[in-house]
Amino acid sequence: MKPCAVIPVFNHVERLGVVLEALVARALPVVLVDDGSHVDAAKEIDGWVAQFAPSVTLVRHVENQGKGGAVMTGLREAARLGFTHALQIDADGQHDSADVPRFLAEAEAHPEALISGKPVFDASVPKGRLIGRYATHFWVWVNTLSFDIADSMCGFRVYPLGATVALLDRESLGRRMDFDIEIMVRLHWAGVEVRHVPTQVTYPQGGVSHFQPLKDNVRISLLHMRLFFGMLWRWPGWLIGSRRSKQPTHWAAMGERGTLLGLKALLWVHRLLGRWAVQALLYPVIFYFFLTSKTAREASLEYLQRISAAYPQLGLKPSYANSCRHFFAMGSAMIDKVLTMAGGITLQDVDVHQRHLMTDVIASGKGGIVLTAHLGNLEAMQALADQNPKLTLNILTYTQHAENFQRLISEVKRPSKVRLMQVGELGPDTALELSARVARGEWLVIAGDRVPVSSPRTVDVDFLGKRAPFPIGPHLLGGLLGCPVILVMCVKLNGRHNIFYESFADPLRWTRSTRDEVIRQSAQAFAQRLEYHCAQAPLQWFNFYPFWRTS
Amino acid sequence: MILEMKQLLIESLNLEDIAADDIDPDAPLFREGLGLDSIDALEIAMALQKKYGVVLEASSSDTRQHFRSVRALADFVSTHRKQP
Repeated sequence: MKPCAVIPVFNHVERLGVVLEALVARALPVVLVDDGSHVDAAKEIDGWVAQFAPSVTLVRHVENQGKGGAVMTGLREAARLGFTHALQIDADGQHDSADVPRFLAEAEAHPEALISGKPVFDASVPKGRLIGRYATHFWVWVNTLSFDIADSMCGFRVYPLGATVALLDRESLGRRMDFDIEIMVRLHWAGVEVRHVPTQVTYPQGGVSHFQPLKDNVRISLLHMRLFFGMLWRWPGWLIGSRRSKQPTHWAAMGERGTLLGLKALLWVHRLLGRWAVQALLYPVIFYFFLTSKTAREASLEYLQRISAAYPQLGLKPSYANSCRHFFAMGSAMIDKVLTMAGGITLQDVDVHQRHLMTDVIASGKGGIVLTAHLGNLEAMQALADQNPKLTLNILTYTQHAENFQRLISEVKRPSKVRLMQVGELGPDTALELSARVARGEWLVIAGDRVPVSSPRTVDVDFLGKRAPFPIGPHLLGGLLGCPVILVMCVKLNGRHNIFYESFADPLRWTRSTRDEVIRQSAQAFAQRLEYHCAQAPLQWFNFYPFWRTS
Repeated sequence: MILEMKQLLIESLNLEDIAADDIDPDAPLFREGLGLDSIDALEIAMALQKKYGVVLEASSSDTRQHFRSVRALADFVSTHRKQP
């Protein structure tokens, strides 16, 4: 291990000398990042650097970038200089440098881990900040779904530089006060262990803190939302999926350890305290999402408007209250999803309608396509898969984390014959692979109501009284593979899972001249059936993005 | 091989009102010529792989060249097919 210290400094140089002296006395080289301090402070910094040369390396930002920006610069510089670990410590003397050896010893013993200070506050800490800190804990627990991270705001820590710089290279992180939290949560997602070392934190009377209560708390709240949805995206693609796939290149890169722990934690809470406890944990988060996510809220309202106009007998007003219920229904479906994945659902919990449509095909040894939608909890189908030894389901998703997730499920529960398969653009390779699976008697499960970002092949058809783009992929696949297509919708009615089977196409056939029209009609027929099932369970359709956006 | 290729096109795409003789082996397959599109290309690629074991990668720029005309496709298949 080759450690150094990284110190971000912005104007508050009053205690910098003391901090530097303590580190240099412990033979720890220092990378000092002057984050655009004003002239007088910069002069003073130069003086300290000269005094402690060559132990202190100075990097200077011409303009202030915020603490996160300064730390990132420092970490990169430290890696460039060949250090393996960087101890981050504040310049204002609030961290106790006497603890440095304990931090470094912990890093030496666990070189892959992030070592973080767990603050023991003395009486000098302002109350408002303490409350903010506890609020943050809750969010970090929710985001990582684990209690691994005891304190995410402490800026006294040791970074393993390899994993950290790799993370900096693939993510853009907040540059202000949100940085300390975000990098820790993201490292945790990337599978980096977080170890805590208790340490005394003092708010020095003469020191200047750059924490701006309102602005930074808002920033931190936004960060938590970002992280929370980052976490949701990493859940099975059914609920909230491909729409965001432009942004998180991190799916593929993200480690699954955090999620696995989170799932286990959720199941554990469920087992111990019951469903209400899980809801109590999740619903505030969802309510917050409802309040803050304008696009999703407006999408929900638009859907409610359309369905209430098309089905006035439902008596479902497109109000904020109903939109909020719509969001909560999503939360409830999420819980069901997790429970289902963990094997907590059996045939006794499910009412099945016209099941013979599928079992007849299965009995004949043939495979086919299950066409479904982002309606209710499709995972309920898994109860059937578990029961039928002949049935293998391949769930096609557009999201990149499918394979990681696959491994996750198999860790949580016994290996099942439900596989998640990630498909991007439907090319010849994929089509042939899918064709081979169906020929072996396997089934493909594909949702017909979400447009993958990677493949803009859509057709505009009527849905709830207005034209909306639907993907042609599922219908195209039905025709290409020449196999039966069965519509399956799983919704919760009166507290019970209901699975509806309908024959949809057997198979879809076209000639070159009728092809486009056949596909369009098929997509239209799907939209009509979806509409019917939405009317049965109007709050269980989960597409929270502007859906009626025709080309 | 050119005739075989024409028949494969007609069968895999269900070109009901076109006979093999109607297809000019040097005419472009896409747009102005036969007027095929990317879904047709997918169907043809699947048929070729099934019948001859040749692999056309969706992302490869060579693939565009092979799909230039019936003749180009026939040349590609005869050089790349797996010998029975």
